[in-house]
Amino acid sequence: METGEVISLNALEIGRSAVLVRLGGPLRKKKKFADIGLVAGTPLRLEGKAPFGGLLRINVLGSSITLHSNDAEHILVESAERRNS
Amino acid sequence: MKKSFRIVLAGNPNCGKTTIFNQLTGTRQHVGNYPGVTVERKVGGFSLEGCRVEIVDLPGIYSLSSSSPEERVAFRELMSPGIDLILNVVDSSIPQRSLYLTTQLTELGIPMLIVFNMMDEAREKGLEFQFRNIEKCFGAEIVQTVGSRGGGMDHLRESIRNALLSGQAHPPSTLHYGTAVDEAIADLVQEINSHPPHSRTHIPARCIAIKLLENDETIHQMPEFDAYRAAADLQRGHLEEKHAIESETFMADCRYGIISGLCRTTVRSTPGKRQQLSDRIDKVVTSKFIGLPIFLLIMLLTFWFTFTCAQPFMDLIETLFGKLADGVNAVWPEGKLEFLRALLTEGIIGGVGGVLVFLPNIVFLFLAIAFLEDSGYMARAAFVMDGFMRKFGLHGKSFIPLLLGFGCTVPAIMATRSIESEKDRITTILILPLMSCGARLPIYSLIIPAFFVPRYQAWVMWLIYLIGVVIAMIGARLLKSTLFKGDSEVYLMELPPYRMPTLKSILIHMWERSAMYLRKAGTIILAASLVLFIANTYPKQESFSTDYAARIQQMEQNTTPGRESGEEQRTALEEQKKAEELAYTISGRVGKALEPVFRPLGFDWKISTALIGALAAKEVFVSQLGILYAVGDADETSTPLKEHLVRNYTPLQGFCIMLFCLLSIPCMATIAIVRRETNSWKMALGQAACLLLCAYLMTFLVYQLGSAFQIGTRLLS
Repeated sequence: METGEVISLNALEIGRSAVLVRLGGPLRKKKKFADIGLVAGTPLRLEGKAPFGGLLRINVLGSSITLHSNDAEHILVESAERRNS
Repeated sequence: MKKSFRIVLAGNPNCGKTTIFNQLTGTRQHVGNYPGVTVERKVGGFSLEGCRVEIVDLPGIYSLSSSSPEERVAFRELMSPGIDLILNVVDSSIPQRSLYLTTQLTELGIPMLIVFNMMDEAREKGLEFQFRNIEKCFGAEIVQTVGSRGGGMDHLRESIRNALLSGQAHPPSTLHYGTAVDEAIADLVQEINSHPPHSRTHIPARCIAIKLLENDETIHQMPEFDAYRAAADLQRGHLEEKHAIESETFMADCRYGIISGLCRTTVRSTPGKRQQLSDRIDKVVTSKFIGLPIFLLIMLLTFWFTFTCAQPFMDLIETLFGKLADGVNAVWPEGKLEFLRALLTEGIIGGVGGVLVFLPNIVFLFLAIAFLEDSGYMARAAFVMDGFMRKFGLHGKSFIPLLLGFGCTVPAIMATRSIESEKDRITTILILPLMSCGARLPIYSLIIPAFFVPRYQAWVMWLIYLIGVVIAMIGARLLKSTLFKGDSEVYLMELPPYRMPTLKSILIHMWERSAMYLRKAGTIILAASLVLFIANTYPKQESFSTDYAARIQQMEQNTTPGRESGEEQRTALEEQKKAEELAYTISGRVGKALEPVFRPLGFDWKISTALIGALAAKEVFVSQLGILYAVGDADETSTPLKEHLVRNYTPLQGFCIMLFCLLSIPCMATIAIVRRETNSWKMALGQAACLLLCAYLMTFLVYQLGSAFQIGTRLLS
């Protein structure tokens, strides 16, 4: 994945940072996501995925938020930086 | 001047709001449960120079809208008239997120104090604030505190005093959301003001305009504002068309815009010690591979703590109640007001005492859970378990109530309030009684050691708990794919940073839940004990099949040399007499009438009678069986009752008793709380009936199969 490419949050690699581009059309309850800080321009980082799959853990505005990958699919982000490795 | 004031505490979850609440109210805080409200709000108070100040602690929320039960409760409270001051508690270590709520509270037009809490964490993170500019932006004073250590509390009290008593309080500033939105708001305000005044004049027109533009559900449910809806829709449509805004999220965009602008100029982040420890713990605890084993280990520790550490306290309570009964018997001479004496010692002390013995178990489990919750691990457990629960149609948030269910079903059902989706919540409530609660423990503790060799005892206990969990999961799957079919809720949950919980907060947390169990012991179980006592005593039999007194007398005359065998025969005769007396009472008759129904499950009339009593509360089963077998003072450790059981029942029958008790509804209090939480008698009684049916069928199946294959069908002695 290249820096600057718009991808779904699901496709982001663990440990990598990105900037939110927009909440995609089919996403349910967009307001809830916006309320916790997921608005255009917000930086975030994918911290990990849960055992059994399903849940993602992201860091937004300094706190860890868990959300379901079905919803993350519709959250579009722009990958921001390469991992330092 | 006003004699009483009302303050509302609002803030994000985990921002230390409750700590501030407890600090302000001291020890006088009490918890108010309001029926019909989905989430608890706490009310406390203190006095300020002779004036009474009431503080309402709202549930933690991210936003002032209506997308979760917590938010609905908080929103309705904040919309009610008569609030003198809002204390907006802000987690200073994450100002951007926390100030989002502040922007919305500002719109309410109520005087506000912004409490920058957890300043120590913010400093550790290397954050520096220009408070004067933030104060100017919101038009509200800022107080810095460290709630957990009581830092800044004097300053906070002083500011509250100034705001309330000096009359300096003023509404916060008006925030600006950009020309297009501001114009739409202004047009709507004009529209609202052109109508005759509505009944909620305490809410500023601007606030109503914003909520209408946002299309907020709660505002929609207030009929006073119906008149402006068309105008709001028009404005929204206009904004969507002309400015290409997303109608659901444009206000969030605007607000976060203001905050990020504000923080750019007022918050300086110097490279400080980041919260690395919390992150590092999480790397391990929530990892894809070790997360689950760690979770299982923590659960194991929790149960070990519950069962092993509580034991000495249980023994102590048992001894105390025994002494109490003995004491009453010693003071109250036999024969004097005999009925009342027996009612007090056997009915009340015996019945309620038998239940209170399990208090330590429940208290210890709730203590462990309070620690896990306050430390932040519980949110991780929900994260780790979510995928597993989802296979059964539930999700991570159902996990905490189900865990509480192993203590007492009543507080567990209350805890389902945090589940947003109504369907998921009701599914969780319906399967909750299958989590084997503390009240069933005495039954297992009586039966397992009686029928199983020590090597297998722990395994049988696990098996029983496991059967409950498995049937619960199957039930959830069935319910979710039939009656409560539908999309699962949007799952968004914050993992709070790990914090060392304070002893006080753990104790308060534990006490809130344990109190529910105590209330149950004081009401339903007390009443059940009294009813059962009467049912076990009346009607009194006057004439017997043989003249026992004469036979005993005769025997005593005959057997002077062999004293011991005489004594034994005498007890046997007395027991026979008691059994005959019991069969004559209401309990005996009901049991005998029901015997044909329970016979296919392997239960005789005595078990059936005890099971009827156990419908009121499972704890009653053991004491009831003790009375039926005429073992004075029965409890799960009493050897005579165990011997009676082994002599009369097979291990298969023993197992069937446990199975039936596990699957049927734990107590009347459960039915009452389910009815309250679901607001439907149909649901509560339907659940009880289904569980009873399930218990009957499963026990029938096990007993019949066991009998057919001759598993455990031989008497042990």
